[in-house]
Amino acid sequence: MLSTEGIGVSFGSVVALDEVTINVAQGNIHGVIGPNGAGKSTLMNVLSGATRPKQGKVLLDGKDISARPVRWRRRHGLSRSFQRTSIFPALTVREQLRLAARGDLAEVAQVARTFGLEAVLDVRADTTSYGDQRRVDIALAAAGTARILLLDEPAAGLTSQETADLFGHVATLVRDEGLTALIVEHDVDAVFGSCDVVTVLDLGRVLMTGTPAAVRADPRVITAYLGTAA
Amino acid sequence: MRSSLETDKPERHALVPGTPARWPLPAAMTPRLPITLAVAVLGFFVPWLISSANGMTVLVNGLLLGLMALSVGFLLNLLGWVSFGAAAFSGGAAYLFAILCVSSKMNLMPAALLAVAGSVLGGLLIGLVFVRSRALVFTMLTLAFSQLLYQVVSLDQFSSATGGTNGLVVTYKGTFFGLSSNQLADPAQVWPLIWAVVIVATGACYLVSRSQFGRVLRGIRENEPRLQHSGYDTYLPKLAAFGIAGLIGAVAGVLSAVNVGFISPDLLTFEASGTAIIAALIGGYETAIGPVVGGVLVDWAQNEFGSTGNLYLYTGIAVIAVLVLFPHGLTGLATELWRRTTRLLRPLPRRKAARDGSAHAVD
Repeated sequence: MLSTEGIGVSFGSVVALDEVTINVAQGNIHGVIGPNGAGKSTLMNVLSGATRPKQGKVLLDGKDISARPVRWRRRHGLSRSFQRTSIFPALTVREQLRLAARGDLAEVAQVARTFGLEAVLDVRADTTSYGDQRRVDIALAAAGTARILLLDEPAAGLTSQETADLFGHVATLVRDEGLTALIVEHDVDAVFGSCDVVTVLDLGRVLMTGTPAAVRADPRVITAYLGTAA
Repeated sequence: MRSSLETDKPERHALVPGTPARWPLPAAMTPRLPITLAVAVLGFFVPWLISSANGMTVLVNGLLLGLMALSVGFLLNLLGWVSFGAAAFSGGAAYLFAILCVSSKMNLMPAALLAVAGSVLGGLLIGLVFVRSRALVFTMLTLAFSQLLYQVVSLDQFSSATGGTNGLVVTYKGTFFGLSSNQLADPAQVWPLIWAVVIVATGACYLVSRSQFGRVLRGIRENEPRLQHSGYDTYLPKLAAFGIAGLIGAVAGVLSAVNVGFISPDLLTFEASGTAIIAALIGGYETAIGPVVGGVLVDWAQNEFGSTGNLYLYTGIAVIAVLVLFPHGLTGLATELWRRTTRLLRPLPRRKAARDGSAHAVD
């Protein structure tokens, strides 16, 4: 459904992504993990259109969309949330969901219910709790024409319970709404517990892709990222 | 954290309790609607209440300043942009109108329409570049453009058309919405026309701000990159908003030229735009009616302050006092007072519910 072929991105002499090829299958929750500086957020930027790769292709449903801008990709179903919460601070939650849903009130209600935001719908977003703001950020991505959710560290700053709930919301969307999700996340337990497939990035390269069990057991991944239990 | 995982899958079209219908009257507006309508209707009878010609002149000028302030407030409220372009739109349209009437001998009505259209078109052309800028740069660009226009109309080379630094007496033929030139020059007789324009302009700004287009503009103001990531083009809405502001300013300029019958480079000064910004801030730009209220008050105050010979001293003190004490302007103050009053008058159980944080009970 969404894939990359040999993506390369560099910033000056720093290589952020090197020959990265991944394939996100429809209906899957695909996790991307890796240490800081592995290129996870750069990969998100490339997929969402915020960063243009120097080499390689981004394919959506088999078509090359590498040159398509952010807006085009969003309209064709590629939707993202951000590592640092990116919402509309002075708008109420309802107003911003209406923006994301292009005025479709039924869609607003649906998304609000899915993410448990009904109680804060008429509250200015910047006055809600951090957890609410994270969920608003993801709800903005999920509303409207979203087919593939690109979630950049959605659990950052959340408690373990909030993280579990959040991944539950995503699982609900994938299961019930037929969405696909690509999640970049540091919380490996949440990733292994929720994702169908996991890709490990290290120093801009794909270390391996496989099921959570296979990734967890792989010696290269253990050495590069997971470490061994004390 | 509330979780929806335990609940059944929600119905696709089920509305959350409290979700308004598709074309609602906003809850905040509902109790104000009769008052707004009453003020709109009663406003037409102002000339019957004020017999002083000077008083009517101040009011008419105040409304015209209010329209310019509305143009400023529209951009300030929805996009967070401070525009010094109000004078360019207003003065530019006034000059265009005067040139069409005096040099081209055009009739009043087509000259007015062409002047407004020309000013808006010119505004959109510069807007193609200006709206790409960051907020501060946008402010400086509009200021620079106004100053540029000021210099152009003052140049001797164009004085045969513009009157140069002396300005130009605008003589015209024909009628304007059935009013002759004498009636248009009489503040009492031109009042209903200008009042009607003000009602239409404020009403349109209000509706735009409540529309999806208005939400898009506020989304741009709050977080433009995020809006782009939500699939929106942000350039055209900004350009359209700039055009709407220009339209309001241009209408104010033509009405002023029609009423006063004289134009001069003063219309394009930095001070003219600054006064419109002050009026928007004093009245409160977060409401549609605020800039108009501010325009009338500022025009009245400047007349009073000017008569003492200390115009800028008293203006400075008044502006500082109002903005420090009432940062949301006078209509912001009125809105807050209204909210507190209605809260006090609300039956006790609903008040308790409101205190407990139920948004629906508050509404």
